[in-house]
Amino acid sequence: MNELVRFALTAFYPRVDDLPGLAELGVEGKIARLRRESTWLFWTGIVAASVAFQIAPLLTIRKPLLASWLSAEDLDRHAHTMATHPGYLVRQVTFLLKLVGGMFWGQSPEVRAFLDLTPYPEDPGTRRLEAFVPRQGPLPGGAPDKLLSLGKKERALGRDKDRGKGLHA
Amino acid sequence: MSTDRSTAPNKLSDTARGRHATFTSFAQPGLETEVDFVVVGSGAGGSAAAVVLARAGYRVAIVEAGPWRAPEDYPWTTYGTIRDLFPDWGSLVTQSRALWPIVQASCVGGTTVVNSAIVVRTPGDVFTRWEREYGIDGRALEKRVWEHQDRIEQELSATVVPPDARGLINTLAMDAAEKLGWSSHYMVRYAKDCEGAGQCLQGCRKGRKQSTNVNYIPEVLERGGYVLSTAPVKELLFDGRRVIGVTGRFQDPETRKFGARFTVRARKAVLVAASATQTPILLAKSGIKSRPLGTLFRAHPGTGVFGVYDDPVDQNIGATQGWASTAFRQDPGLKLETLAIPPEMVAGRLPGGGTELIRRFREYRHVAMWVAAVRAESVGTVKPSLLGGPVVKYQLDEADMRKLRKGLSMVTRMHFEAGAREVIPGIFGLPYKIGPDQIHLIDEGPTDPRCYVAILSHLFGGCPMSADPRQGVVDERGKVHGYEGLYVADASAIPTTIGVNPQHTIMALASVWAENLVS
Ligand SMILES: Cc1cc2nc3c(=O)[nH]c(=O)nc-3n(C[C@H](O)[C@H](O)[C@H](O)COP(=O)(O)OP(=O)(O)OC[C@H]3O[C@@H](n4cnc5c(N)ncnc54)[C@H](O)[C@@H]3O)c2cc1C
Ligand code: SF4
Repeated sequence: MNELVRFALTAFYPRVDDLPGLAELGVEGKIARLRRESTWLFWTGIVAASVAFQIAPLLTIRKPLLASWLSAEDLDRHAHTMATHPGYLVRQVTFLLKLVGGMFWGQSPEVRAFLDLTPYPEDPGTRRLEAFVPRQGPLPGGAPDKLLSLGKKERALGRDKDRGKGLHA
Repeated sequence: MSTDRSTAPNKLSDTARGRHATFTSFAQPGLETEVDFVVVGSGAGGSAAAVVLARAGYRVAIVEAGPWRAPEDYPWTTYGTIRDLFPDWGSLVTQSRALWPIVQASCVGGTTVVNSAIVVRTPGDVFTRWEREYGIDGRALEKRVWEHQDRIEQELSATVVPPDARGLINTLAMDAAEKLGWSSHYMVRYAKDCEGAGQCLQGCRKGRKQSTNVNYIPEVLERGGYVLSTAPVKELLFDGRRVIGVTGRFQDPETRKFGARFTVRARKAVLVAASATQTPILLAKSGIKSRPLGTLFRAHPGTGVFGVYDDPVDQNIGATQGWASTAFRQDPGLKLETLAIPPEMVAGRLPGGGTELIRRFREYRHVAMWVAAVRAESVGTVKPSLLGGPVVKYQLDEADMRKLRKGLSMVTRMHFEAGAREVIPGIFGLPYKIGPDQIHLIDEGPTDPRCYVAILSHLFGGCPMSADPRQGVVDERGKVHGYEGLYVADASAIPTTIGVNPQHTIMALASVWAENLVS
């Protein structure tokens, strides 16, 4: 099952030049985790979409083959055609695969580095168990330099004078 | 809360400070308690109502289906957001011609934890319409709603996005609107010293955004109230036509397995504020008899286009949403806004797949997303499925689809005014990118909802308010027609769309109704 999902997701996010593909980004672990953590409905949807991806080449590139039997070039065409297919249901099935694949791929430190972004820390997954949870104020910190210099420009344009026009429609 | 193995249910003791009880283990005994008011759901409506009741000196218990996550618990990633903050992994979609996602959160603080905290006062014409169409005393309600909005603005630090937190995604939109001569503004949001971390949709880890889990709900505890988290209410308890409490089983947020039973009795009343998709379901499953239950479901569906700029925009740096125009609220019925989404969401949202998709994604740093939300008149229904969850049937009619299309063409025009080289409309049937001389393609674009990737995040109705029990589930005091001790205090009671971001309206309405109960 995991292999089926892996095949579909990696087809949507292959390596292109210096941007690594999902297959190179530890996707197996991510899929195993998704299976463990997601709901039965969500996981079933992903598996069903991956099955649809396997059997759809006839619909997309007119080849009566399973997706895993396609050449690399045809597989790429199949993925793109599925995502842009005139059939709404085909596009929706693809949407689910792209959503999950996009999360796995776009969140990876490698892709974030390409975008000049620091890696995401691990999601804590924690919650409050204590009997009293206090109010919480802002943590210390400030805007990055890039925003500060834009802020200067905004002030120079007099755009700091808006005293809450947006409050009233 | 105790986790010993005795089978007798725990009592929540009346301590000076209240208590938070949550699922901790399958070995824990059940929980039974009695308070003055039970509030089901801790989002915009539930928390606003609960704090008014607690300030009046009543013992309040907030019973919330989701876990309590503080800013340090918030996820960084979209994966974590869907896992930790959304109900059922965000899998609720409209079940009509188009399957548009319905976005909500399930945690202490409800959807205020993942929203952009945009504050807009309820426009006066909304009350006029409620008076005309639903028999509500609009003028009296208007006065009281605005009074509460004054208060809430103070308490939750409603402020204009500061210049240092804006980011190019927002300032470019202002440039465009100024050039076009369109009235617009930097948003007012419930945020203290926002530093533009651009993480509103994952929960503000900086603690700047004033979601209700960092203020009103802890205040309810301070005032001796209780919060039960990971506690989905299964049904209301009755004594004849009087509602006397709620019950359900704690649910482990990780395994989703049900644990011990909780029962919270209300000496005075139960206020249900479980959202526009869940409140009608809870009432229906509890056997509330009301013909309009689940009707008049409405929304402000929205979608956006990406402008592609020569220089990097870096939409993830700066306030997630910082600019808006409400100038088109009446005609054609739209709100225009900026909306920054993280790279992983853009990767899934751009049209195409395979190498073509990756090539398209390479432009991420150069794209900015601006959206149009429709003040839609279309109506739908929310009914329980066989498995008990909500089935939402809703789709935009032709007139509303035209508005959506118009909104997209307007934000496209704005992008070109702001200097975008191209625009990615994301509309099925249109080219992947269009130039300034192709905006007409959007104006003439399809009105089939299946050609658009829209979402529903502003939801209304399902338990609409009306003086007439044949038309509405609740009256103008939020009380369920035909029942005693049962009130609704969330978006589900709002019978129309309002054309502006709804949290401020929901909070103020819930406050008015809670205030009625204490006076
Ligand atoms: C991404 C996003 C951005 C938004 N941005 C803005 C914005 O900037 N400004 C604005 O005004 N509005 C915004 N909104 C909309 C706004 O957040 C909602 O309209 C508002 O929070 C709805 O309030 P509510 O009380 O009806 O429900 P919610 O806030 O959704 O709260 C309902 C709560 O009830 C709980 N619940 C459900 N069922 C049960 C049960 N059976 N038992 C116990 N608890 C239950 C849920 O877990 C949830 O915590 C946004 C929405 C989204 C999704
Ligand atoms: S933009 Fe960042 S700092 Fe500002 S409220 Fe949102 S998450 Fe918090």
